[in-house]
Amino acid sequence: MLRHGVMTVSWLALALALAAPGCRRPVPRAEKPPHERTVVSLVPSVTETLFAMGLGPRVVARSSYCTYPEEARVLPVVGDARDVSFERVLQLRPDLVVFNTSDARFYDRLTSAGIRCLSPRMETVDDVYAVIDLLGRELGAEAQGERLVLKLRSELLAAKNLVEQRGRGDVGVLVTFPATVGGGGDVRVVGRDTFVDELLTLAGGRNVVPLDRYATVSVETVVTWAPEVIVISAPGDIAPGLTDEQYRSAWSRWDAIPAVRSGRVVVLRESYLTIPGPRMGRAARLLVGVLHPDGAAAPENAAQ
Amino acid sequence: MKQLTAKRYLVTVFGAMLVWLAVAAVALLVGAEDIRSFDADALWRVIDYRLERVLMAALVGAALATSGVAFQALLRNPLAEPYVLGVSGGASLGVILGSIFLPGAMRAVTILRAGQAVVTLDTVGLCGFLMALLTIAGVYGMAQRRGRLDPYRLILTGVVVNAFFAAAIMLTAALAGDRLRNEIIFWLMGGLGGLGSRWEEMGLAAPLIVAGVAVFAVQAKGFNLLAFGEDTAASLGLHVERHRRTAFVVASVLAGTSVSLAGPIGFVGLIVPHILRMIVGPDHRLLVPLSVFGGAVFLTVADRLVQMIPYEVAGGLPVGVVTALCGVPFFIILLRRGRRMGGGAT
Amino acid sequence: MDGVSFAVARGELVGLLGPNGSGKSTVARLVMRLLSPSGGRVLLDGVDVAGCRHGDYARRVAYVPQESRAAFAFTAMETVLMGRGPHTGAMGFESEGDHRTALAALERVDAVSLAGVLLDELSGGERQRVILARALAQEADLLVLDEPSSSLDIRHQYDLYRLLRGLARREGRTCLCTSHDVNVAAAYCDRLVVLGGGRVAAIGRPADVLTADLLEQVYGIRADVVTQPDGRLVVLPRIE
Repeated sequence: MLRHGVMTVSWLALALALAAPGCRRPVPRAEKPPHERTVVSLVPSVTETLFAMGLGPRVVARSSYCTYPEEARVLPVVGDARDVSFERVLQLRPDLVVFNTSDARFYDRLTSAGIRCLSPRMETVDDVYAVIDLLGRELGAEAQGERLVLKLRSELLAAKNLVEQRGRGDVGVLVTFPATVGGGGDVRVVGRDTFVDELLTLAGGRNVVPLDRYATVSVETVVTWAPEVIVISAPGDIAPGLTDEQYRSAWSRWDAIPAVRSGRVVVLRESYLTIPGPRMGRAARLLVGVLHPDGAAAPENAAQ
Repeated sequence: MKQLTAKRYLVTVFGAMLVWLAVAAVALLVGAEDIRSFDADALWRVIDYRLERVLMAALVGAALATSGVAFQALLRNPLAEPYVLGVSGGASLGVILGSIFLPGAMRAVTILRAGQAVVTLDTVGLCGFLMALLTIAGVYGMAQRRGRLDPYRLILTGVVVNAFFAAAIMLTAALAGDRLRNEIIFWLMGGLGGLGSRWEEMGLAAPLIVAGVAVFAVQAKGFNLLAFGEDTAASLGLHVERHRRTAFVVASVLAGTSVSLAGPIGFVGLIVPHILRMIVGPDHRLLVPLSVFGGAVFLTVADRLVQMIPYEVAGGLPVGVVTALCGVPFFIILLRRGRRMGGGAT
Repeated sequence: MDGVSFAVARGELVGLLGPNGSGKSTVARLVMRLLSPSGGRVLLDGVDVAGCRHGDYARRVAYVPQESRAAFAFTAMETVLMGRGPHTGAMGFESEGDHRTALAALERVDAVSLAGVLLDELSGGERQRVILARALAQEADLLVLDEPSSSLDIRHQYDLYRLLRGLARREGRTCLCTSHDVNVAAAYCDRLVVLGGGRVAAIGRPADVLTADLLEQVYGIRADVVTQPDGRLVVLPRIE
């Protein structure tokens, strides 16, 4: 009888021991309070935002593209946009990971390890505010978040006011990304429904490109669009690229375009011009300066 | 069956040139935008731009087509084309590396200054060209045996060299960031035109291409003889080794120049010779000069087609895509027809 | 090959015989300057051929290879016209006279009807005749033929040798033919050069050279050499 009982118990114990590793339920980790949570950020603009909110100390790792601000560079790198080291992330035991890759397996693996994952959209001005709020809630920094949002709103408002002071809006603008490899025959342009487009409108400009998102068009088409300002966005992050003079001289023979004729071809090398983030206030201000230079009267064809 | 007299030759060549001139004239009138939508001032600029592109297409098309004819004759293989021996890989890698590593200040080097006029050299293209020359030397060194260039060894060497450069380019693209990688891939499809003026590059390339084509015109008789094998060709008076060496170098230089100018545009060097063979037969004395204009016309038409696609549909399509798309129906036709396409075995 | 030495007189039809590997093709290629001798010289009209210019040599010596395929689809006429290559200029432009010569060459080999046909569409024998026409169009004094009858049927074999003998006798052209077929060579050649073991085994008129002993020594066969009443020499291998 006793032997029978011992046998049963042993078998049960063995069964349990064998079955236990098979249980893959997410193990709930002891939830830390929000203001102690650490975060890994794989999105450059999110990294920037975190530091702008004063949450730098809470960031434990970044992607290789997250190079701003300077303080972020000392953080360990766990991968690039596509290829992230899952092991390294786990080693750091963060509470939150922010990324925007569409790798569902990565999402699943992190979640099953008890790590909270966020993949917020960050493509418009409003998205930036929303992400700031979100990060504030997740990391117990609502106050810092509100402060940052307020600051950005006022910066954008100031830019808008500046436009009204300096002249009417509606300056036809073309924003283009020059090619790095080879001569590049056609012109790569930025269209509607993009962050740059939003800023342009804010800065009193009118995007001459009638398309959504990004496109490549022939120079002939640009001539028909007749922009008054051409903004060449050359962040220089991918390759040395050309000098300002060289970029401008490539356009110089196209004086059929008003922007070239009046010498309003501007090279901007700031990366924050095209990526939404906490520096968008500066971006707006910069664009206002480009589109409506100090003291300039409203451009002649603003009356159109 | 008529003999090829000097008169018949000149008439044929002149006729081909007229065809090209007609196509070029039309090409100036069609493009991305309706020509009537420009005012007088802008019209001039647009015509100038289109003219530049047409001339670029003529240069590159002629270079690729004649290079294709030469390689097909040299390797005694109707499927040979200008990139078969790896020169395009070398030139491409040169351009890509030059684009990535040359700082802006070194991109355009002034080589001539005459008062106000300044002539600058595009050093990125030059990188491609120099790399092409190195590749030619390398392929020659590897393929030759006791000073002799054997077609089989050439092809095998070409395979190796192509593989090498494909790997090198892949490595570069893999290490590059996303945006640079996309640009590299795009450039590898080949394309004409440039935002800035490209007259200087064309001015440098044109004499080279014209000289190369002239060499082929004189070598054409030898290409005919080589079709029967080197023994027969030698017995009919051809200095086989010298002829092969020259053809190899000139054809490779033409291919390398094209790639440095416009990226590796494919299929022109393969399709144009074949189409011309369908029309005039395999006589290289006619094929060489006709390829000049045939290649020019082919590439000009392809470029115009690409330009005319509305940007909402597919803006900035590289010309190499159109030539590649032409390749598919072409090969189908090639398979179904039999006559006058290629000959028997080597 | 060692110590191979022989002379061919103008207007002779000489057959070069020997078993496989005896060097027949090598000799033909040496005369064509496709090979250069490691020792010894090839003399044409008393002058070392090594010093001759490519173009000049092609006007004096023509070659008919054993097998000929073209990488591209040339017609018979185009092929024969290439024989005028040594006579046309750098660009290769042809004259009315060149055309006539080519046509005449095709007539001689009885292949005028094949003029517009692609070389690949011809039978082996027809192709061989076209190649011979090309060699004739070269208007060379010396023709070197490497196994010219190997792909021909029996009638065309004899036609070919008859043609060559006609060229030799009536036009004074010299023909040097390598051959596998002892009987055909014996029937038409003025002289035979028999190679064996890398050296010359015999030179002379067919009747003098072809003996049972020679055949056994060079080819390793036992044969009877029979002279027909009309003077024909026939080699009959013994069947064992």
